[in-house]
Amino acid sequence: MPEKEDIAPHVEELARVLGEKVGRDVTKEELEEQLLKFLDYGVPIDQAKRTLARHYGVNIPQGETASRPIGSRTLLSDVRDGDSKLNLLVRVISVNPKEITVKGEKKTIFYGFLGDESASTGFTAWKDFELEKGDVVRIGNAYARGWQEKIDISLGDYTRIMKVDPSELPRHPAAMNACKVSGLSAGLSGVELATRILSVEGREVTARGEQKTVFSGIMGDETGKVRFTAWHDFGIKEGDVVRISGAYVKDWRGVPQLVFDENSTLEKLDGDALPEADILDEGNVTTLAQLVERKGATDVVVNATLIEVRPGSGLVFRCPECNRVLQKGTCRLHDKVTGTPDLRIKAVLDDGEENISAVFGREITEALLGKSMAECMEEARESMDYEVVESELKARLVGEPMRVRGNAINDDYGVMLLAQEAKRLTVDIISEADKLAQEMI
Amino acid sequence: MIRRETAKRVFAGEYNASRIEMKDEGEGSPSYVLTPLGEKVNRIFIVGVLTDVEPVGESGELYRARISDPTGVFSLYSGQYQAEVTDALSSIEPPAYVAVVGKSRVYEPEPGQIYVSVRPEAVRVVDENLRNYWVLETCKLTKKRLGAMREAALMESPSVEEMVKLSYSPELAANACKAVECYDELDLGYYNSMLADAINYLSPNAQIENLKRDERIVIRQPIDRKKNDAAPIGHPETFEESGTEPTKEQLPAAAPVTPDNEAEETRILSIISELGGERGAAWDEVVERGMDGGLDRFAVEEVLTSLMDKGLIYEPTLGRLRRA
Repeated sequence: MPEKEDIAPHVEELARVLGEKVGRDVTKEELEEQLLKFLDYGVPIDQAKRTLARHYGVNIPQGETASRPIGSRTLLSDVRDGDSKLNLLVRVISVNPKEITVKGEKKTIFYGFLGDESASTGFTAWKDFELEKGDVVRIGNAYARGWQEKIDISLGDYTRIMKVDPSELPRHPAAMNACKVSGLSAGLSGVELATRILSVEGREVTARGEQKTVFSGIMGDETGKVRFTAWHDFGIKEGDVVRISGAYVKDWRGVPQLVFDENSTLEKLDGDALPEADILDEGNVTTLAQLVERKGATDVVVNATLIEVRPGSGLVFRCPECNRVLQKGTCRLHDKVTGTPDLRIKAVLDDGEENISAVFGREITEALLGKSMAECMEEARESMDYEVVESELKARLVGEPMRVRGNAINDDYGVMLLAQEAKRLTVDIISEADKLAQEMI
Repeated sequence: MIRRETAKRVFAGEYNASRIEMKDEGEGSPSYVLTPLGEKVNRIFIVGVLTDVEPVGESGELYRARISDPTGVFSLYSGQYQAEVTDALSSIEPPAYVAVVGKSRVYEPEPGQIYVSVRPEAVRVVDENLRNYWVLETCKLTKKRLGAMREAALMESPSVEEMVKLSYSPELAANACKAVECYDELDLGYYNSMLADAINYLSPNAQIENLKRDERIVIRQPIDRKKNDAAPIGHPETFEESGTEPTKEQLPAAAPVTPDNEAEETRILSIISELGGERGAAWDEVVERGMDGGLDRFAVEEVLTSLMDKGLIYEPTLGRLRRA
């Protein structure tokens, strides 16, 4: 337990920050008493100082208190696998009980999501802390474990939890992250953006035993498109232009997805506020660097050079059971099978600043080759070599600038563009050069 | 997971002037060539004119090829370990437009003396249109780097953070700062003219108005950085004399951009004979001597390229010149 002498410098610092309020609104003795009380509850010193200062109408920005001892608050976005003795200030986004059996004994644990202004993270409580959805709590001595490549916060026997006033953690940070669609990447929260709803459909789900309708679809602005899910019925229709505040971005199958719920606000805007749907639908040209930074995206167009045709391109055979590509006539799952022929290109796209993988399916491959799959089969038979198609693709495409449209997904191997359209890029070189000339100094 | 290296677009004029080889921190970092404009090249993509392919060395397994772009000539070396590419390369009849993906290579015959070349990974015959597209793309990316270098050079002490505030990407910012730190002498005006010429190559009628061909942002490093506190690292000596913008009259007379070809060629040829010993004349010395005659570096190299095209001189080894 902290002694009075230990906190004297902190009281002095607080008094300095509060200035003339000391003596008028509060005495130093009162400050000391209140500060000690916070510390008794295990509140980190700089959090306590910030809270007290705010109470008397002064904001100390994050990171500006003089001392940041061990035990200062960690933001969820900064939590790493293996961290221990974590002090958090979070809102309980969801909590669910779960029966487990430990050493033959039935036990109830709790799991769900915690969120703060930086991120939301799953948690597991190994005993009943009486957490309820919507609670804002200070957590002392939690630890973090990696689980299936995600971080999970563990609350155990040594964890302290104190409910605090929900105003301590504003629902949305005072300053919203005003975003354009191209700026959305998984993990962002407090997002505010204006978009046009390009498609929307409702579906029934059961969440925590409750029937609920969620609305999902695609929205976009002049910078790009994004999938969304609304956990609340805002009455949005296709074609609406809306401003959403307090949304967050989650990774959904490797693509960023905007999520909003009853805690978000939605305001309908004038239809002229954004270009019409058919204009937005033409696709947005994105640099590869942006795609990598965004960790994937919905329906984008990239202009880049096809720098490599990867092995496994050309004529391939797929397992009729599971659609996997066969290796030497063998499926990983179903052993020897008679494969169904298919045509594809596994490529690397490179714009000189970044590179990503891309996959082109049969139709695109046929168009780029100027040959049907039947013709490719014929050629392979004649030369007794299935790889003849791969060689031909290399001879035709390596170094060609391409315009490719599709969805970009992100996984452990980086970003991959699943092409829906691809063609050779055509550029009016002279007029582009003239434009460049004008920008020269 | 190891990230695949992006294939950088750099003109021969910039790539060949590289004198810095570097690695990133951490084990297993590939080696990079750091160009004077701060491009970190490990993989490179070139489209240009293949001007010649010839076997070098006794075994006949190593081939050297030259690829010309509007600013200079890339040297490629391809050997038995790239049999497929070597075969492809040696079967192409020059001149031909080719696209090459390759890796940067450094040759350091003596400490501090660095010559760069390219080891091809893939080569393909392409058409003029693709070459022009490459020149355009390379112009755009070079212009971006030049902008970042200008900014970094004008900073008292170039900092990545400050550069990022000016909305340069962290990578571009870091590489520009590194180049300003590593290169003792950087003549950004030279690269500005190189870029302008490359743009004019695509569009001969493009009016590049107010081009500061003579712009001299020359960065000179203090010889001993620690002792010389008065001159902080990378302090740019703008316009040589002082940091103030000179009036038009103060600017040196414009260097002839297109030299009087024949006279200059004869002069450079005699310099090469004069300097050339058994190993041939050192490229850098030839350029330096050539500049004494009033040409800028760019113009001298143009003369050299023209002499090579005429077959009057050749490079027996990288960085050496000899009369045919």
